[in-house]
Amino acid sequence: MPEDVRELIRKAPLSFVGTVTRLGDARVADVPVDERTAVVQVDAVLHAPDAFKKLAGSEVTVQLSAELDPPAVGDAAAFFTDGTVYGQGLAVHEVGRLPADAVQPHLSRAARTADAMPFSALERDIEDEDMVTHADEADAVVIGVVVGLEQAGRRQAGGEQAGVEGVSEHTPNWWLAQLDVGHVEQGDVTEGPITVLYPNSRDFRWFQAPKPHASQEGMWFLHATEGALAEWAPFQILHPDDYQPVQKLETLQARR
Amino acid sequence: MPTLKIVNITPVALSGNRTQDAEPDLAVNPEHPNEVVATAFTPDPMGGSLAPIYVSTDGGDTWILRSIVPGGTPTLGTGDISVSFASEGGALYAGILNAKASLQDILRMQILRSPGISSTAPMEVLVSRDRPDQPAVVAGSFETDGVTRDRVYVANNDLGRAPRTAAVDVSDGARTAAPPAGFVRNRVEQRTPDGQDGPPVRIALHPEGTVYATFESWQNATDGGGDIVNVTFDVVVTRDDSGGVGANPFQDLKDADDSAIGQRVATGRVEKFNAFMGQERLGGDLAIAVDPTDAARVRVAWCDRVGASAGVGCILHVRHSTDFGQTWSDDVRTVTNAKNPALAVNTDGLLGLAYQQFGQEQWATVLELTADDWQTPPERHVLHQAPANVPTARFLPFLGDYIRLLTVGRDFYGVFSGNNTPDHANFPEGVTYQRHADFVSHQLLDLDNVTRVPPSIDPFFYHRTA
Repeated sequence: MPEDVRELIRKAPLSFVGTVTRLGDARVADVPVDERTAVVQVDAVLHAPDAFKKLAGSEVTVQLSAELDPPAVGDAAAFFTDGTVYGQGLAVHEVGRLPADAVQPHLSRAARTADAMPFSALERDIEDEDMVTHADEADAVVIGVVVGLEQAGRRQAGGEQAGVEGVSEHTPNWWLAQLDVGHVEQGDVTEGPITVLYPNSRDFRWFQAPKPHASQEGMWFLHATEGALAEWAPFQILHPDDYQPVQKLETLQARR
Repeated sequence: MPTLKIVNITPVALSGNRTQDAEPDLAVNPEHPNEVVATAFTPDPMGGSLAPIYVSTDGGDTWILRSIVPGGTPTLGTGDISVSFASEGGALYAGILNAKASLQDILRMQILRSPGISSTAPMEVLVSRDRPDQPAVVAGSFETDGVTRDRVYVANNDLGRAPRTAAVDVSDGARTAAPPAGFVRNRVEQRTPDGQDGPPVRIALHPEGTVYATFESWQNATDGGGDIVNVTFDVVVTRDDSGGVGANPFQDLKDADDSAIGQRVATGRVEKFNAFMGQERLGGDLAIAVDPTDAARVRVAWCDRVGASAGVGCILHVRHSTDFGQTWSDDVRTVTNAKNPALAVNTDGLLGLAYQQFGQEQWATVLELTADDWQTPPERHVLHQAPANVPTARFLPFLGDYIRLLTVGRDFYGVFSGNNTPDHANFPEGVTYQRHADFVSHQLLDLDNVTRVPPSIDPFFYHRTA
């Protein structure tokens, strides 16, 4: 019984349909070669990080899984892989494999739709699953509009007023967003104004945290503050997924 | 006849890369200088939990990425990272800020070890401590009682020990000992600053064991609004004649004026911490180098703001001492609107200064070499110059809070990050790209060698032979 495609996508960041052109060989220096090292011509990319979406037409060195029967030269299959070496070429190790026929419907569907990749629809589905998991971990989930923004406290050497860190390039620069909550989906929160703490720094450490802006409406995943930060606000948002477009509420409700 | 080569180290397999690979660092194996490791804010290309290092085994001509640094996240890679090879045996050491901990609002420094450049195993965590900032690693190897040991220094700004935060973690047996591998935290700030010291703490290690540390002792720090802190600081140098591994480490240099430990090289300097120059932030630029042929000869570079907090720009200063850091020259070199000083001295006594300068809406990365502290015109190389508004910064720092310059014997090795637009006009000394690039149309090209890739920030390696 072939492994579920969704599970393979979760385990492998890169998948492609490819044809084995050589066994016991490699296209990348610094890769140890044995009988399970294969050179595979990439025929079509199924899902990939942005930097590898144009991999079709390339030869990839694949360290085949020891748990799967090795393919023969000339065999085509859907390879689910993770990267190992990035040099003159790409070397990956195999996480899973499906017959090429098993992914043909996805290739056909991608050709008929605006999807960037054959597995784009499955990836969106997985993202929605993850959003639900993330919501379950939040202390509150609300729909609210940003009605006020202000800096929390003043910076000072040795530590922010209610923070614990001194001044560094990585200081969060805490700000307060006032949300006018119109709907409470989860948590012990009432409709009306609520204050939320967020790091306004654009430092490497914080740039992915949501940065609320005036009049922005969204679904906010709120996490209870602790310690000194609780002096400023009852909740904070840190994770990139703590903001979702308001339209995602329907998805959240449907999946629960 | 000296030669200079500059290489964009993003490999072919990452031709589609669009990430902001800022804040580079570099290590060259002194026993085998063809073995080079570089680092940057580069996430694992496949979104894995180990961040990559850039590896070259042919002197920097070609590079691969190998993900072996723990603490990465799918989109962040590691936080600050600094690397150094021991001078014998090939062990590689790193100091990082763990990115995964950052997502939980924890500033966590870790000291890492790898047995050598060929190792594909995740680096071993030797030390993990919360709140130190900006680790900077220098490693050496020293023989004691017939046994060669790796002596490793990890300078850091330990905000957990405020107000005297400038610190250096030292191990005299880092190569083989089990974690924590003998690392001991040493405070190098002995005065009482205003709340804390500045983020950069830097080390210069002489081959015979004398070690210097320099830091910015914050004398006054006040809120400047937004992200900005107005800082008045002293540049301080400390020294240890026993390698920092004896009793009372880093206490062998006392100030000629107040007799306190740590000679002040400059006092009452001003910076607007987190102010901007172009798309780049400012604050805390510091470098130190010791002449490998004479432990008494040491140079320091820093950046400050002329005209105090009401002033503008960022001025780079270089000073030298010929008496083990006791007395210091006036400025032997100043550079206007520059940041990220990096210093190194080769075995001919030739001093190298690398920096990044903002002017005419461009960032230029410059290497200067001088044998007489700029009394005569230096050998000057503009390594890179490119529009400062390309690409749009996704995060700070845009280019990095530091770059690095090293010497092995008579050769200089360096690394910087910059706008990767493939345009020969941006590289007056020439350049080699690994990734697909069309220098006629000035376009980066994806893996298919057809699809255009927008410009981003890449790390560049350079090597100046004697």
